[in-house]
Amino acid sequence: MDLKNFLKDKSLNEWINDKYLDFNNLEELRKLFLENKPFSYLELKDFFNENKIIKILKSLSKEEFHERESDLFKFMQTEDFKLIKNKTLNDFRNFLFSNAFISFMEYLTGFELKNKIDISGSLYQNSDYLLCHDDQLEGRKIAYFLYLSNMEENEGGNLNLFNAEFKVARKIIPKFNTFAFFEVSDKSLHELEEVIVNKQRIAISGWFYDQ
Amino acid sequence: MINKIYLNKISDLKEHFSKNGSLILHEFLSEDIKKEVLNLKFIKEYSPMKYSYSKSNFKLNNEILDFISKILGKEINNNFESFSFGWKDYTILSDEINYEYGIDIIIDFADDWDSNFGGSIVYVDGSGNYTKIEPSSNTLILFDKKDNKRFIQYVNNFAKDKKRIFILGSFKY
Repeated sequence: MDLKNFLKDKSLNEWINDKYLDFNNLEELRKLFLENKPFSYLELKDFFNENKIIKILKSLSKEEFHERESDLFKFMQTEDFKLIKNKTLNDFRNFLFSNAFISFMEYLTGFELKNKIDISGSLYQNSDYLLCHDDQLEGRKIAYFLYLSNMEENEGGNLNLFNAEFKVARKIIPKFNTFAFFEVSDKSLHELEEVIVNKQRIAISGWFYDQ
Repeated sequence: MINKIYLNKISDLKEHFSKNGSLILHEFLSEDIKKEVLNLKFIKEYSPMKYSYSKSNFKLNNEILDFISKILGKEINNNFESFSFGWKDYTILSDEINYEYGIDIIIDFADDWDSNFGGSIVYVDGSGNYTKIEPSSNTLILFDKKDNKRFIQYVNNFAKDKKRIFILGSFKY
């Protein structure tokens, strides 16, 4: 499909902020994804149309979050949205793995993706964390995050990306309606810094697959 | 050095460990050993995908070694290390670590420590079952790991500047 026509797709325009459907902007972002260090990633602020995101946040707040705890993490999480009956959350999931959005992600990243995703809501509160790991599991190609709350850098909850020397080389601070994603590989070491204030860090996250 | 209550009950303690695979003795030592351990020079070790803690070599005295050897029914070597876990410290289970099964010997000096701070020693069997040993001041813990793997739970910001210090030795059967 011709890219300029593809960007006129109805569902893309319904969900995504206009500035990310501009051909020239996308070209720049595509380059940025490849050039970013310590590994390929993008952080797209005000990514979705705000009216959609507010509905999603309202819907998510009605869902049940379950405690998750292991050697690696402590936080709360919903079931995968495919198991949730809420229409708004189902619509969002359907959009993320629609042909239009998968093609959009393929264009930005240069990867060939399958129409398969994982998606769930997460809630990190004071003392919750996710320690350093690489996310590698069969077929996972892109890890993504949609932030639904605002955190300050000194409040924790930042997504830290490590370089090959195991130093934090990039810090992504959660801001409402920022869509961030990175390539999953043996280099994609990252952590979610412990939240150290009495605030709720809410996000939707998951993976796109190439197998 | 060792609380006299325990010195007089070695055969009972041996039987308890043999039957249950674990033994916990509170108020285990006198204060002087504790002071010695707290004054050790700990050196930071950090490998983000595996661990973050501070460590120091430590030799147990013969009285403690003999006592533990009698309970286990076998002689143990003096191969112990002292660990200090503060805020942001942890260990993670890793495929790169060769876990040796056997008996863990822990002398815990976690003073003024709340379990909400994290830092518990957790044994997992890989099928969802786990045994969590909460920090406890001046306590001897003997734990037969069988095929369990051990990790130390992340210490969170609630711990502030407190340190969770313990001596650990791990012995094969």
